[in-house]
Parts: sequence; C-alpha cells; structure tokens
Amino acid sequence: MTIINYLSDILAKKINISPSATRGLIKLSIKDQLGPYFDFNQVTYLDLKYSIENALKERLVRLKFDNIEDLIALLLLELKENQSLITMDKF
Amino acid sequence: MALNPIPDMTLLVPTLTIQLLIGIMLIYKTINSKIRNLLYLALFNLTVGISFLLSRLMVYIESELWAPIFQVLTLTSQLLIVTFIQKTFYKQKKSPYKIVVPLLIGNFFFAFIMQFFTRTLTQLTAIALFIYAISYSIDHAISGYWFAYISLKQYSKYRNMNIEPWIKIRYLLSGIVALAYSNLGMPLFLLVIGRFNPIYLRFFYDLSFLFRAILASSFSLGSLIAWTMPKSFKKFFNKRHFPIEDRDVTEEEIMKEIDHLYGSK
Repeated sequence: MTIINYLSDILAKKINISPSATRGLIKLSIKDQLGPYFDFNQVTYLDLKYSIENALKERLVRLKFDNIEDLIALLLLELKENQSLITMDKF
Repeated sequence: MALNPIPDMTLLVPTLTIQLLIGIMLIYKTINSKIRNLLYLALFNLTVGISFLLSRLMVYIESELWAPIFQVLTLTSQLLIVTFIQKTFYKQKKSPYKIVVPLLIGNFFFAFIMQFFTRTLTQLTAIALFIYAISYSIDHAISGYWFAYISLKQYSKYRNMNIEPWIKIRYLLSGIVALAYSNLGMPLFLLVIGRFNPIYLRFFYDLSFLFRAILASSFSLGSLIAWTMPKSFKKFFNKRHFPIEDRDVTEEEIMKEIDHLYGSK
C-alpha cells in the first residue's frame, strides 16, 4: 500500500490535514468505489484512478474543500508517475 | 575443436534453476493477486531460463533447428519484458513501447533472413554468428537499458523519501540486473573472433564463457534477490526505517480533525 501512503502525503500537504487523515480519506474512497470488503493489497492502477476520480472527489466536495479539480488532477498525475509502486511493493 | 561441456554445466544448473524458480514463484504470486503484469515478468524469467539451456545445448548438439528456436525464444522473452515495463511503469502514459516492439520484431526478421542467406549461400558460419551476435546484442540492449533506465530513475526519485528501504533496494537491484542483462550479447563477439581465428578458438571460447558466466550469474542472482526477497532481507534493509502508523482511521476521526482545523464549513 505504498502508493496509498505516497498519495496521502501529497494530499495532506495540499489540504493541510494530517497524512493519517488523508490516508483514511483515500481508503474510505476506495471502499466507496470498490466495496466495503475490498483488500487494499489487491488495489490496481485503474482501481485507484477510478476511486480518485469519483469517490474521493465526491468526499472532497462534501467536505467543501477549495480547488478540488486541481487536487484531483494532481493526484491522478502523481498516480500515473508513480504507478510502479503498486507492483514493486508486492510480496 | 571439441569443447569441454563441464564448466558450462556448472554455470547452467544454478542459473537455469534460479530462473525457473523466479518464474514459478511469480506465477504463484500472480494467481494470488490482481497484479496481472507480474505474469509477464514470470514468463520472461522462464523463457530466459530455457534460452540459457538452449544456448548451451546449441554448442554441443549440432542441429539446424537450434538457431531459429533460440531466436524465437529470445524475441519472446524480449517482448515479455518490454510488455512488463509498459504495464508496470507506463500505463496510460506516453512511452517508447510502440517504437520498441516493431524494432525488436524487425531486428528478429532481419537477423533471421540474413542468417538464412549467409548459411545457405556462403556456408560462412562465422559471418552468420556475427550477424546473430549483433541482433542478439541489439535486442538485449533495447529492453535491458530501458528497464535499467526506468528502474534507476525511480530509485533515485525515491531514495530520500519515506518509503520502505527494501522497496528502494528492489528498484536498485532491478536496474543493476537489467544492466547485466543488456550486455549478455557482448560475449558472443568473442566467439565470433574465435571463429575467425580457429587457432585461438579455445581461448576466445573460455573468455566468452567467463564474461557470460559473470553477466548471467549476476542477472540471475540479482533477480532472485529482487523478486523473491525473503522476510529476513526485508527486515535487514528496513532496520533503520520507522514505519508509518497504519491504523484504520474512522470517518468520525477524519471529520473531527477537519472540523478542528477548518471549523464547520
């Protein structure tokens, strides 16, 4: 789950809340998108992409953060640039 | 000149075993996870293992069939590793994949046709071997240097970040073994020199064997550590690393923190 930690750190710096809270936000968004029993160790690039584009965006809108489009674009770019972490931290 | 198969076999057995072991373990891991791109890496390791075996058999058992079989296997392994690179590092991202694949296939057909004409029309096996050495080296350089470049680039990016050290080591090792792999074709040129100078064939054969042994063993051992890293190694590499607290934060806790920082929006 290195990629989730990585993206959480980036989001935390942008919205000024703790990395553990942003990690929670991203994990909850993945569960919103893929179901409550989803195993985070099985997450793929597309799972994360759709979770950020849909569920995380919705949560940030509900929480009334500013510049949500920019935040989502940044997270998607970082995901694309660091996608190898999904494979390289396995087993 | 009769060549002694014993030293080759001492190299062959461990490298072949290691490659097959990596391949089988990665297939097992792929089945147990949704990370399908690992299958390409698994099959790559299996084909490399089989090609190590064939490359030795070619020397001792004369057959017209070895060369085309070996070339097809080499092309297959190249296509597998570049597809792994594409799917691991470049999904939905601009990459040289669409240039690399036609290059590999074009190089294969060029070498195949040139070798066929050289062997059948001129009977010059040394020239056929030379053409083969060029083709084999180009193939390995393209895929190997690409893998080395992207692995080492990511390693240097993550080196000072709060990422578990064993993951960084995996990037570093992948880069180093890819460099060894990219140069696997070089020792073949020593065999070519030997074929043109039959008096020194034995010397060049041994030299070629030595270089190939160093490169192949580095590649196999490095791949083994990188891709089937035991827990004890991970613990060792992580000994100065302080892991991020990874307890599940509840929705209420997140809301509480946001409310505390921003107030009720």
